[in-house]
Amino acid sequence: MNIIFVLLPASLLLAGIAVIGYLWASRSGQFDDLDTPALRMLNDDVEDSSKKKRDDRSSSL
Amino acid sequence: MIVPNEISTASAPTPCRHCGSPTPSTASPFCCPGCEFVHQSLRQFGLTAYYEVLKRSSSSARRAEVQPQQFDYCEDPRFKEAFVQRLPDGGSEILFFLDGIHCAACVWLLEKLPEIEPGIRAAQLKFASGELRVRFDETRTSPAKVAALINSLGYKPTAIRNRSGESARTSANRLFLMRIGVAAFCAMNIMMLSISLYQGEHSGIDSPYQNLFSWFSLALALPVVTFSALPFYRTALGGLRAGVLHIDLPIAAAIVFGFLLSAAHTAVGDSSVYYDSVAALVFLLLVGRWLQHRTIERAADAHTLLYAVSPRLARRSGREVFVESLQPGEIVEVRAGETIPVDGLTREGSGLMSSAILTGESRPQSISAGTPVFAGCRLVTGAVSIEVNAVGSATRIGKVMQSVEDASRSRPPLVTFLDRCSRGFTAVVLILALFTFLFWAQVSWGLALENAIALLIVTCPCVLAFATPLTFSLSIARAARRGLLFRRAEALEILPRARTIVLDKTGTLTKGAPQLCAVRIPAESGQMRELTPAVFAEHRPDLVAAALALEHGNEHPLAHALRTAFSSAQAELPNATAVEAVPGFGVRASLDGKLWSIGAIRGGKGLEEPYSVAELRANDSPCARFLFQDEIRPGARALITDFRAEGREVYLLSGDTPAAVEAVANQVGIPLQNCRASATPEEKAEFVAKLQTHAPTVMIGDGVNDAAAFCAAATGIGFQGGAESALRVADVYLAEAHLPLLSHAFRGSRRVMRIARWNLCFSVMYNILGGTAAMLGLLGPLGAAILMPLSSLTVVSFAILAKSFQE
Repeated sequence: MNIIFVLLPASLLLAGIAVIGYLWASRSGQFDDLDTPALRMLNDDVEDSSKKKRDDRSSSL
Repeated sequence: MIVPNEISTASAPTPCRHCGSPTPSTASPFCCPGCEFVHQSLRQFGLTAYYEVLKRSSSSARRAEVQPQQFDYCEDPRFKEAFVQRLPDGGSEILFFLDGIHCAACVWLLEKLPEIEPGIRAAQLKFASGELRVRFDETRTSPAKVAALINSLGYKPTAIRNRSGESARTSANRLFLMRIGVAAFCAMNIMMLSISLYQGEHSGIDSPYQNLFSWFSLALALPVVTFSALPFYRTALGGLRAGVLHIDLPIAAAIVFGFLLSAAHTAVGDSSVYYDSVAALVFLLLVGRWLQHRTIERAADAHTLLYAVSPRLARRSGREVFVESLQPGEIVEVRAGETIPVDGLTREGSGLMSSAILTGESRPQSISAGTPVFAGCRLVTGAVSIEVNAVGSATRIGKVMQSVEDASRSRPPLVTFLDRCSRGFTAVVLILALFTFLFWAQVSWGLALENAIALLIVTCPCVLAFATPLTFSLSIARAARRGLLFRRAEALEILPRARTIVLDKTGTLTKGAPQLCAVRIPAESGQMRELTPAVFAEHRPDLVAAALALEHGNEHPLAHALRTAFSSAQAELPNATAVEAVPGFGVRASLDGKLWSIGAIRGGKGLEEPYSVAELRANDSPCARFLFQDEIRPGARALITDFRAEGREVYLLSGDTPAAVEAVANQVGIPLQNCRASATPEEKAEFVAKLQTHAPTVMIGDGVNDAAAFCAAATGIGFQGGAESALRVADVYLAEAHLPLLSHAFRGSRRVMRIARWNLCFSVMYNILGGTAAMLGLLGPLGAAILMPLSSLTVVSFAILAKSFQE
């Protein structure tokens, strides 16, 4: 079980990277608006079909 | 003969292609020019997938309240200096407040701006506040073009500046989220290590491992105690300096002493460490505090509100100028269909002005030389020249908006339920902790410290700090799904306590637009015969055709009502020639050789008084009188009955005439002495303020003219329809104009308060039992550490499982 002396700090270090990522995201304002992203999610499916229509339209001009 | 069923199916209007509301005539697939305009824009840009998105997000479209217009004022260098920001990477940024945001499809549509206009780099919508941030390239596009695009998509844009203090608030918010994140990470990892330590306490653990886990727990607890918990230390110390015992004081004490004690134990190799309790405590309390502050900030900006309802530009000597650059005494020209930009005196011309925005009543009044006019009112017909008296924030509507902003900023924080509970709590806990310490000090210092800390940990203010805000948040989210938007959590508390309800008339109790309810024609006997519109259309289609031909293209609300009432009779309308306006009356024209006229007249005394009346004349002799009335919303009477049954006093306030107010009051059951008519927005606010001094008052209304009254009341409920922007100051907003939703709001808030009170009872019981056990030395910090999260969990479960706003 001595391995835990290595595993514990190592795993905490890895997890620490995630925390740093979270802190960076927070700093750059990604969590400023928590309501709109929930609404944006619903719109993804329709994205592709409309983009396709517009690309077809512009390519056929 | 007439078969009523046949008639009703024949006149069933088709839904508008854009918004789905009924179209007034079968001639056009749209209900209004605004919807047609937006629909065309969507097709032009290839964005008809919008209707798909709308369907998916299961929200309904709204009537597009826009018209094609130029935004040339955005090219003015003064405008650019004030509203366009230069970005470090060379681009430009402008912030718009949009009227008409209501669903996910709006987000989708507006964020497509970069795809339809090459110069726009990015468009980001903040749904909660209706603010759209557009980043663009000034060399390829212009603010005017951006604004025109947004307008053509169906949203009226008003350029705004960043609110003062906004950046400070944003960075404070970000810092808070960082504290929560760090606390969460550390607390959970500490708990993982604690499991091993607990097991060790139970069945033995080898010393090296115990030390490893202990020391790592300490290291993980450090960021929590030094970074995440800072807000608590600050408020606790600040309170001490001010001589107040803040509830954060026992919390701060528990955190610091808990950590120090555990550190001491770790140093000597003792395994009784409490890092997990400390970290969990910090995490839960931070989340609770964050939930409390998350209710959306409603500091309304008077400037934004003003320019959302009145134009930025005015016409002076034929040229368009910034309204703010006008001086008193100058002359501006206003045409039919436009909004009056200033307060002033009519110099020349005549027309009909709708002061709905100030009085809430849609009946326009006729104006001519010498009549005072106000900014924000619409010139329905005619053309006038106005001498400027006041501009911008000095106008009547500007002052109303300013008072709204002042009130929403300086709202005294309500002594909420939570505040009342935590007042005595702090003092009691600290005294008991001190007492425990001194008592056990007679036995041993170590034990004294442990028991005192156990007490501090066990008497967790988790309910106050966490569960109640959670209950409120969850209920608010549930209510929002049903179309009840609570913008302040305190409203949940005020609604059940409200003893007085003040209702606006037009648009709230009534549908807001006049409807044709009867037609009177002279009978052979000389008396007037009254017919229903359907019967009239059947018997005298010639008169219907004449009326419709005369009112063709007229924007007057009564003309709209006529068109809606006779929407099926759109067939052969006679050609109208020599159309001319009759001042003070309506319109005159020649139809197939005969001279006809139609216009609004004052109803005769008695029966006709509460109605709006329009008379149709052939060769100047009356041949029909149309009676219009604003229809009462379904459920109005039941709502008033409910309110009165609950012991609440109901009042009716309106800007309309006494006769109309009386008619409505009688129909819904409000006693006449509780009604006030012809009330201006200022008078409404005064009246509500007076009522508020006696008992908690709730104001329910639907327009700008109610905005000041909202702020004077304990809480305001805004109705859908009318100037949305003004309703942003209301604490509660009904997204659907549906009266039963109002009773739902009251019932739901009562339930929520009941749950909050039950949670409090449970917490009190738990505190008494746990606290006693700690003081008697039965518990110890370990037991406290286990008990506290258990109690929090119970209370949180109550909050989540409770059924508020469910049906």
